[in-house]
Amino acid sequence: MWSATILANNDLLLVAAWVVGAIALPVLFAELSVRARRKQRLIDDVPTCKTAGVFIGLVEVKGTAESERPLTSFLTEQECVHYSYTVSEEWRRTVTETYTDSKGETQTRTKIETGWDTVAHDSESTTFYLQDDTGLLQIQPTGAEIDGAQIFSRTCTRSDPLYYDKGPASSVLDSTGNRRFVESGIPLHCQIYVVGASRLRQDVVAPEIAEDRQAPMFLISVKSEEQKSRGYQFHFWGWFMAGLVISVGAPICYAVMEERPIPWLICLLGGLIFSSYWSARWVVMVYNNLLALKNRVEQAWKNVDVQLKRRYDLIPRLVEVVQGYKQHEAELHEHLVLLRNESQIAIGDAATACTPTVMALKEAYPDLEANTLFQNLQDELTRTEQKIALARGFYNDIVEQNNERVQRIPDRFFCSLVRMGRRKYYEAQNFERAPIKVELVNP
Amino acid sequence: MNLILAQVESLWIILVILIIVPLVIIFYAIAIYNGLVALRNGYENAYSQIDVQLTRRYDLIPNLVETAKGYMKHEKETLSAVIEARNQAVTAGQSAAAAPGDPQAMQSLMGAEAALTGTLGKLFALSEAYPDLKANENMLSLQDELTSTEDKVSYSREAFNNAVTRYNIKRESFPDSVIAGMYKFGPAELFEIESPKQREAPKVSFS
Repeated sequence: MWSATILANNDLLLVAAWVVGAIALPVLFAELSVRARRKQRLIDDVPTCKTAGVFIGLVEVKGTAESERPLTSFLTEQECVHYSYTVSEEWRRTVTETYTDSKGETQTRTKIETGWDTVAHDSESTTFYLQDDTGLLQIQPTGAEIDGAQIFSRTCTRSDPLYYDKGPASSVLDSTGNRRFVESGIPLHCQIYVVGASRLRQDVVAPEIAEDRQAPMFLISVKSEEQKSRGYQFHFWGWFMAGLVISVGAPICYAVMEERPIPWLICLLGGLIFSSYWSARWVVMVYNNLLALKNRVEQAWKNVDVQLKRRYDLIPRLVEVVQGYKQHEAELHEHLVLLRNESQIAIGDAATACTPTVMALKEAYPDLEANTLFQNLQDELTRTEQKIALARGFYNDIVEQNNERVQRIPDRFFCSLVRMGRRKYYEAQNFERAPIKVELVNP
Repeated sequence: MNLILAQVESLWIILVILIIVPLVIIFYAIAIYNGLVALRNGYENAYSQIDVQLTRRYDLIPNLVETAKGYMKHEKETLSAVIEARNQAVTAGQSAAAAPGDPQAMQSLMGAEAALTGTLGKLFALSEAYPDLKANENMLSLQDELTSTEDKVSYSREAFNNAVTRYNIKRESFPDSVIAGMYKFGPAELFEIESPKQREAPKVSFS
């Protein structure tokens, strides 16, 4: 009865090992591989947006990190918008372990183990601005995957002032007196790359990029888009190879350990199961990715409409304001001119008593000008047209990506499935292509 | 004995798999369903947020315009009153100069000057109480408010487009599309300009 229980337990263990080795790990690796590819495709698909053209949705921006109140990093004490540091201490100890040798006898041996323990670590980030040639965009880094640059790395002994200045006074067990100080972060004015969901700010009427749990990605990186893309591609192939090796290699390892003949058929089966699971996940991922791209192209197109509607609603109103004021000002001027002229004509002794007060009118209305209103209108016209142009430019960029996917192998084979076709770029009408004449003099 | 126990063991495993696998699938399906519901509510809310901004615009802008108009009128009327009083003072001054010593003419001159001082006082009180608040400034802030109102409306429209896109992506993605098809989650429409004429650039003219 005892032996039966032990056997059953062994069986269970074996089953558990088999589930982990043959199913869980390959599935996990396939999952990681496909996810890396999905991220790569996402950052390839989302075109870069200028900060002035950021719309509400998933956006990608590039620029420098700026802040009015930057943080001071802990180790290097340099100005930054995000930093994280780790202090680790080395230990070395002699351990005695017992083991069973090949003859089945219990033996003891001593060996020296070394390692590093983290003794202090912290990270801090602050709300900052991303600046490009069109303006600033606020970014709230809470919840983002932050890819900082390494700004400091040093290993030192107790004699170094850094050792106790920036590290705790206590020490780990069996400490060797070596500490490693590593700091990474996003320094001020550093070139960064951000992908994330934007939303409307609470304080002013402008968008900001912040955490959004439903968004597929929120990444702040000092690496360029190309580097990130290559990184994801490396993960994609790396996890794929790892999964393949595990699923094929696990039975070989098991056979070698148990000194049995290598079960080639099971190896083949393992490899087949892994690759078919991976392929199925890959197909679903590509399908979903193309579908998302199709919907984003549609969104970009309709966001142009949003900007056109804004122009249609806004500009005539602004013009009316200027016109209304222009008329008012003209009438006001007439009155004032009348008053000022009168004040200069001598009209009897009694009335000249009023002259100082009338003179003071000039000071009360020194700058009666519709000038500022016209200036404002001009600025807003420019801003409006820039917004429209940026929305159209974004649409063109995403159409380029769409058309590339539609023509590429293997994506083109999925396009009929997601009912996705080539799309036309934005096209100017012929009269818009002619050079503009500026006529300031009335004929 | 061992064989039987091993068989019982494997029976257990099969039973557990038979229960766990459908349970996992059911919970996954429920999660997808709930996700679809959340996104559908999300875009419905986003649509109503546009309405919130449009109502704000409808309620706010006419009142701001009226206020600016009222101020312009006030400014104009005050100046007219000054001119009126000025003219009266001039006339009274002339008649007083023509007949010095006429108590009636002197009295009307005093009255006219008092009136002029009064209206001027009103004018200066106006510009002193609100040194920056002239019709000019009023109109400037009206322009700014018009712009930020339209910005708010357009951002809320973009947010709506974003919510619709999220929902559409989810309902078409696999395996969510299976649940979306079963429970009739239909496609959602993005914002679109109703009449193509509104896409054209408005003409600005000051003639």
